[in-house]
Amino acid sequence: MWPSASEKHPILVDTPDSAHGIDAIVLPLDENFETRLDAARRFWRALNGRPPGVLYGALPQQTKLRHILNLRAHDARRAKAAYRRIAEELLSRDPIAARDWRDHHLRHKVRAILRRADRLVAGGYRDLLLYPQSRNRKPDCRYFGKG
Amino acid sequence: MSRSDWTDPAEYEHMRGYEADEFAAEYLIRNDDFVAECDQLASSAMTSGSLAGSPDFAARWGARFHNLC
Repeated sequence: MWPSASEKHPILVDTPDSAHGIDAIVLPLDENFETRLDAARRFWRALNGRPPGVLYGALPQQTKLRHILNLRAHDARRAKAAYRRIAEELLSRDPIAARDWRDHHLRHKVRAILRRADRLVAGGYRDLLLYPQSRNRKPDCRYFGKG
Repeated sequence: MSRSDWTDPAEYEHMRGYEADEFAAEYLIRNDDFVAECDQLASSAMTSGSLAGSPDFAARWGARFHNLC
């Protein structure tokens, strides 16, 4: 680990003594190149006493709020909350009367959020691990249908 | 596994500072199959600081952890 003023840089080395005196970084030209390039850039900046700069692949605030909504809805269903109750708490400023629920527009929204959360829990999280380069990939269904 | 109280926004407030990998971890720990496999791993004897789980475990879940016990 190379602790700088603002962050730590985890470094794996082949031999225990080679962590000192690093004078080059070799990056494979694979699909993770940009992530590694950013880590290398930040490491170089720390070595030279520069501020790390903006993190590559930082999530927009709106995306963070959407993930929090997904997780809260998922936790709510696990806690056996009714969908109407989830809609009231997470999506509506006002209480929703039971008689209005059957045709309520938020009914579809709650279901959509839970579907999204289920997809991420079932394997979609792996794309988040490779964010942001995973944005450029075509979405597929490889996480579904597994036993 | 203990969960946050979904009705309390304060319990999720810290996630506003999360990046993509941290959200990925939150989704992963809500996967029942993953949790069950982790429980099995935890009950097997491991050396402190060693990597937990087989390469197969890492390949299937996309994650591997150091034993912190």
